[in-house]
Amino acid sequence: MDSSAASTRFEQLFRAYYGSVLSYARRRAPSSVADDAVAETFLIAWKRLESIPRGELPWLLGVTRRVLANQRRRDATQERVTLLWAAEPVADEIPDSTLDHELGLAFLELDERDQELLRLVAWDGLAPAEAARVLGWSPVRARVRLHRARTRLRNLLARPVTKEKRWKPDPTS
Amino acid sequence: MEARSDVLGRLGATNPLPHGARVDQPTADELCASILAQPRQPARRWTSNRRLRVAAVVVALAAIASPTLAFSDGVRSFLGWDSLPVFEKAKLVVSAPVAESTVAHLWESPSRTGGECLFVTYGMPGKAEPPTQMSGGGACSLGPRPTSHRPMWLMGSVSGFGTAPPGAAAGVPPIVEGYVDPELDATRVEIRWNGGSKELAYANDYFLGGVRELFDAPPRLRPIRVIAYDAQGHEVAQHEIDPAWFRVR
Repeated sequence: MDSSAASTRFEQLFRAYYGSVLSYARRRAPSSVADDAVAETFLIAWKRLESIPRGELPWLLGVTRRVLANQRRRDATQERVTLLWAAEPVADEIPDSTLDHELGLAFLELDERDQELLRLVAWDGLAPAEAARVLGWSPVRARVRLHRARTRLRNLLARPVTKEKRWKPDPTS
Repeated sequence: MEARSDVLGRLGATNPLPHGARVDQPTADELCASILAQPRQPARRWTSNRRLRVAAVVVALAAIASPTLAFSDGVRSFLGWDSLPVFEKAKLVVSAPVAESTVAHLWESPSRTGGECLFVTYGMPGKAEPPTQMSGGGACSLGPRPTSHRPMWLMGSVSGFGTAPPGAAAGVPPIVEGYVDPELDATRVEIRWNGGSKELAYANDYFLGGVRELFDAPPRLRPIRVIAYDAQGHEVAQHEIDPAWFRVR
């Protein structure tokens, strides 16, 4: 691809998807971090223009997802110490701007990848096959996991709230 | 089918940006032009120097890209970006030596938004200094801790000090901290990985420890689990950790 054709394609890509990539990033990170990630995503897209597959948005969102993860790790080094993970985090990560605590608590009990799958579908409006490409999965895997995640979330929401849930070691493990 | 739609619909209602981010066109145009001005090179594996150059470019791009959307205080707080501890009310729950002449302290305190915080500070052996910042990482909730009984939850951090290779004496290793439901009557907590284990300091229902072996942990260390035991040595709670979280490259 010559430089003129590359510029044209990149501009088309940028115009078509900048808003969607920005929205994706800002739904998951503070705007200062999200804007950085969007800039880096499109810089990577510029460098790898020839290798971007058709149906570019899932590819771009997949890059943004990895850039955000890398930024969290980079911050940990630059700022010396930063929280990196919370396997079962406290309530600050409930992804709900309307303070739906019941949903938030149930959501946190899902596998982290299933949480992101549900966000991609419910927040970013992606079809399961597109979400699969963001996550690096096959479409079949995404459809199956989406079905299971929805079912699990529905069951978690339906359980009695007063019943105490105690963890017991799995005797088969 | 209706119930399935309800779950996704209910989740969709929590979308922090239901109509998408507002695009500031001049900012977008400037960013696009800045990227087009960069030389294109064939994709190849980045070296450290190239990585640094790209980081510098991104910093420069970020500097010219002014924020185009401001979240309301409510949304910002809800997402946990503004929640900080009330340091004057912090209570030390457990301490552990993590490196030569370095002790990690785990503190519990109310948050400024009416929730709770758990955070780490580092100090010299001896009396813990009252904290004035979350120098070792941490997290705050926006409201009271959920009442649902979680058997165990974990947090962790990787320090830039810890860039020394495993086994080196200097530097703060990866830190693991967390909580075990007191009703499980745990008496000790350990972290176990393929090929090794380490007992973590455990007091007041909280555990804490530095695990140098897990710095930049390769996948072969799977499974990495934090396990709580009761007085009879029975497992009462456990949680698996992905080794990727200990990687810094």
